[in-house]
Amino acid sequence: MKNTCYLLIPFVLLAFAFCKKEFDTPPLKQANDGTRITIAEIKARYYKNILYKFKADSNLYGVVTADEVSGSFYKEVYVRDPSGAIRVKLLYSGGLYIGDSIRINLNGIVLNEYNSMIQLDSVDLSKSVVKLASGLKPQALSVTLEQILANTSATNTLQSQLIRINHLEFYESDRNVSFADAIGKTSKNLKLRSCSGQSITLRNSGYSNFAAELTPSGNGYIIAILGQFGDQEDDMQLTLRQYQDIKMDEAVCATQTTGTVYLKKDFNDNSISSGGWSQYKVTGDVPWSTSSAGGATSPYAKISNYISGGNQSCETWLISPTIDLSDALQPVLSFRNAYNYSGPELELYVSTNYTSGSPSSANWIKLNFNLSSGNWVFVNSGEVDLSDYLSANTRVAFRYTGTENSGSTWEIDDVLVKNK
Amino acid sequence: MAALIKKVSVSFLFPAGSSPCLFILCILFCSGEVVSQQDSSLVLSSDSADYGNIPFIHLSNKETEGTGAEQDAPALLQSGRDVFLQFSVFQFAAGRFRMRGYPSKYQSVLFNGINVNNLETGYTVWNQWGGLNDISRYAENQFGVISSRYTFSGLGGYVHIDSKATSFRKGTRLSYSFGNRLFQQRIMLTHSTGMLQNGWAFTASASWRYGDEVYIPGTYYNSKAFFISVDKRLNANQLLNFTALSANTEQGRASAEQMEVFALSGNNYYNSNWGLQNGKVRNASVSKGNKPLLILNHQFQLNKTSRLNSMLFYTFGKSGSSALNWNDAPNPRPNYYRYLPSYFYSQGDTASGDEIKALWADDINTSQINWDKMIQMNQQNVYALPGEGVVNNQTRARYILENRIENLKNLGLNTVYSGRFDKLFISAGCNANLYRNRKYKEMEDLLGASYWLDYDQFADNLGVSSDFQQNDIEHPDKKIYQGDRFGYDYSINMNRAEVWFQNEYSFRQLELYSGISFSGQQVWREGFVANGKFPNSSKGTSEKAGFFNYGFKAGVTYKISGRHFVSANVLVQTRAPEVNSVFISPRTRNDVVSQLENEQLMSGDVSYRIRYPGLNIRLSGYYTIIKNQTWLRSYWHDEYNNTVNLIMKGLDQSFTGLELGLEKTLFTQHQLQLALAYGQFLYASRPTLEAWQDNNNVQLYSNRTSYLENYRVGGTPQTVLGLGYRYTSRQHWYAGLYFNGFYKIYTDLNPERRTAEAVDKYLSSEEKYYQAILKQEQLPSYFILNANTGKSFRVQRKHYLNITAVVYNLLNNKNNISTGFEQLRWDKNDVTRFANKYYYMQGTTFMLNMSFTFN
Repeated sequence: MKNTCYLLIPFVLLAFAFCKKEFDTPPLKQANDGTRITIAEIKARYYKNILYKFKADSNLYGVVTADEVSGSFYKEVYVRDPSGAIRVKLLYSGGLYIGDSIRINLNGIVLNEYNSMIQLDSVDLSKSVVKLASGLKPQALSVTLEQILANTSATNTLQSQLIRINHLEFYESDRNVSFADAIGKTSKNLKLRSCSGQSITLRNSGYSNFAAELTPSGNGYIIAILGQFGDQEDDMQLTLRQYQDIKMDEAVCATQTTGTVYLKKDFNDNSISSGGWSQYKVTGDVPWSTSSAGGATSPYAKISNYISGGNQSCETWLISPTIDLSDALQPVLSFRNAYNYSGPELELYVSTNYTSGSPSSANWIKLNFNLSSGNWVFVNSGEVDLSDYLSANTRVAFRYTGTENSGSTWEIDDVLVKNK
Repeated sequence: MAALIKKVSVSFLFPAGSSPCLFILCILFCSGEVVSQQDSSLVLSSDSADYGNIPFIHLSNKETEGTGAEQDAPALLQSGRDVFLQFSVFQFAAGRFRMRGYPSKYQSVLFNGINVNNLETGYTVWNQWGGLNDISRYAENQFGVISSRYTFSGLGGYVHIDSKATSFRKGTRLSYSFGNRLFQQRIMLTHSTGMLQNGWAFTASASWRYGDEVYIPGTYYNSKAFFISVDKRLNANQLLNFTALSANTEQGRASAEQMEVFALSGNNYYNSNWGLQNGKVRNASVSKGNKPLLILNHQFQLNKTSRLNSMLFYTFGKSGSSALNWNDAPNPRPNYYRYLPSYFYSQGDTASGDEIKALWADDINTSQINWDKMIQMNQQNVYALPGEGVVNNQTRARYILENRIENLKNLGLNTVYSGRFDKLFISAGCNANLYRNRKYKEMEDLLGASYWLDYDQFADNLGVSSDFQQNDIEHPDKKIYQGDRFGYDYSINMNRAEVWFQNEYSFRQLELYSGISFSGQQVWREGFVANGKFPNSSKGTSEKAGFFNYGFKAGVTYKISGRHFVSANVLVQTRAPEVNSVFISPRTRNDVVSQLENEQLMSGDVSYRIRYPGLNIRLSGYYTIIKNQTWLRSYWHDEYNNTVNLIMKGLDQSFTGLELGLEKTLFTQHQLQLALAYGQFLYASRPTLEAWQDNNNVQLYSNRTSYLENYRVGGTPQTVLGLGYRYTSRQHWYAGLYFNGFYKIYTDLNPERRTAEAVDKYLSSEEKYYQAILKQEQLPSYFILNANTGKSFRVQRKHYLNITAVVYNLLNNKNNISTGFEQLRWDKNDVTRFANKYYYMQGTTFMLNMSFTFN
């Protein structure tokens, strides 16, 4: 039996073969702190119209602040780190979500710009991005419109940031409308303003899942990504990541804009044309002039076709200067008018595309007003609503006509266009 | 005396006890539960991977009360059963245990001396004689490197089934079985005349197995098998035998699934292959086939001590595997990744994710295949080919059920010489095959449409010339009707031959053997259809790939005493690469994989045996290395958005371990058994990968290293523990209770995930993140309890009634994962998207068998 003990030797040897074998691993890149890069450093490499391609391993560590889930963005996400934020355009849609903490290896990635938006272009997730964690909750930076509008160049530090602006409201015409065209899938630009009158565009995609929702009518806050399409103040724009990022249900700004006067002409300086008024004789040669006759306390404008003992056929226009109603809320025109003698009525017109010369060169829309009952009695025209003509180039005009046989004498005064 | 009586009463024609166990195993592995990896998309993985191939199995005639026919066998074989082997066959097999971890293709399976391993894959298609348990009962089973008088057996040893008519004693046997494992009922009738006065002997057997949704939903089994064997003794020295068998089997199969799918369906036996059609269950993955085997055998007793055994055999027949195919339509499979809630949750879309989760629970058309919808979509697709008007509202199919057919013709010759010369026993033989396996697709069911257009729908998207998408450029825009051939049509051809020689020396204290083999094979492909993707290399004959192989083995047994034996074996062998890794894409073209090389095998083992009456111990240690394997798979690759053929070369595997089998009989009637194996099956090299795009000749990458060293070989538990207790009563009944523990089970790997390119975006400090890609999953260890019992009755002195019952998994544990594999399709950004797939072991299953033998 002793001999048999030697036979156990091969078994003992086999037992050694059983030492725990480590799993093989493929070679991996070593981490190297020297290749760490921040967004500020990345943007420092930006020069207008010059592409910069990263040619070595550089690692950006950041958090995703906006993703494509709602449809507001497509093939792009926004990433920020302590030094700033940047737009990252993806080669393929999907894969990164708000709250992901990621490392992007910039090797092979191009830094370029699209209409003043600096971006990292065509990033392939499977080659360049490692997700280190998810579920983080990045908070928005609180900023004011003043801060945004202070620097609108491509390199401004707020670009691509997740920001929150308080005390904003939509312009009246952009309240209670859909965020975008969900059916035609087209984008819409809406305007937001602060109570101090500054404004910024909110641009929404027709593909977003809240495109058909209606915009709020109150005042409140918005959380959005700050972008721009150009480097002017009015090129700055916000994009909403998701419907729950906007909440405006408080009272709108105090109506300081009520009563704002856009046009005032009282003829007290005895000039028809001061302030940019002009007159145009379409036919005939009957002019408007100022007068204080009849015991008026202050001069008024007057026109009559009864000259040298007889009526003349004529048509004369008195055209206001351009009235910028683009920011008006509810502008109304009022004036005092009076006439005597029988003849064609004075007509009131409004245009938004008159530049100069003959009135026929533009489109005029006739407006109704309270006409005087005659006998030199001045009557208030009433508030003529101009809110359909909120252009920067709105003009009102008075058209006087007279025939060979008849013609009234018309007088107007205290022309006023203001917010109701 | 007691022992003798036992033999007489129990050793009748068909040893009873083995019946349920044998065919349970047969069934288990004939179940078509495909263990090898399959891709998850439309395209099949390599052809041979899923035609009912079965992993390792042993058969033994030893689970009987007697020892069966005595044979002229060396000392070890004669002396009785190997406990570990017994356990491995009857107990561990349920947990898919492969002895020593060896792939099952290394075990030679012989039917009447003919090697019936599939020449393309090496696996044994047990379905070929599935159900004919009565005639496959006499099986000699030797595992490992060992001497064999039938063939040059290799690593896995051999199983030799002897079904010559004269091997069966006279009598008739009728048996009926009932169970819930794979089929529900089986009826079998066998009749043997024994050797008649005029020198003839006949044995015939027929069986029918049937089961519908027996355990796993959506599955079914229907198999009819026939066997006939005729012996004619020509003279005192010559015996002529003719054997014919045919087994027609149809099976609706089960599927492996991701954990998410099991959770969604609330069922660990969820099967994604079936759905309702008009309220009836229909399985889309059905395998059907019949490959009859005809053997003509001439036994020539040359003199008292030597014999020449010659066989001519022919196997032919078709087998098919059905699958859904679709064009210009959504994927109909319920477990497609985009129909799972995880797809939506991963994109942050919780609403859709919740919605689909609820549908999975409530709507059978979401959780299973919606046949009615496919038929409806087909019926609505009225279609006109450009230049042709709409004819009679003919509809073009969007969905079809196609049958992937293999039509085999295998002609072979085998002759074996055996002779005893005093202490020397010589075995020698030569064998050859002419093999041709024609493969094509056949239209199984148009699902309500009028026709299907024979295009490659993936080629379609490329916008190249319209020819590109044609599967048959000589018949473009061909309309395929029911039963038509389409898709691809080629044959794999092989001519092979082998010559081998073995000598065995038997001395008083020493037994030695050595054997040598030389073989050669030539493999080529012949295409019968030219397709648009490879117009010049799809039709016609490919280059012939030739391989020359040799093998050498030797062993020694030293009898320390009449009770203690020590033995050692060694093997050095080369093998040709598997045929399904010879052609880059055999479905579409003739191109041969470059630089194909033989596998090299080396193995050594040592065993120590102790044999006392009532105590039987074997302790073995082994070390085996298989080098330079070639592996090829086709699957949909996410990164290249195309079907890809991935070739892995230079793969080494090492198998090291210890086995212990112990059997102790106490007080005659009580028997205790212990079977323990501790193994370490590892990949031992860093193979290289190359990938080819399937629809053009583009090599996507080559020479990528897969860092697989020391990853575990998957699919089998590497450590097993078996404990058994058996009671045998003098009243001819027995009962046994068995504990089986399965440990260290790993999933089959995706080699592409372990390349440097798979993790090239990670830093070494980001281990937490890339580990998900690299880590190999270890499945939880588990154990099950099995029991068996049986009683035999003597009826009217001559006849026997035998009743046996076997119960698996007594504790009805339904949470044991028996195997799992990684999908070949994988997403670099999210490795959980195409997660691992698993099979669960069935809960309690049983088989009750009653057989009546009349003599």
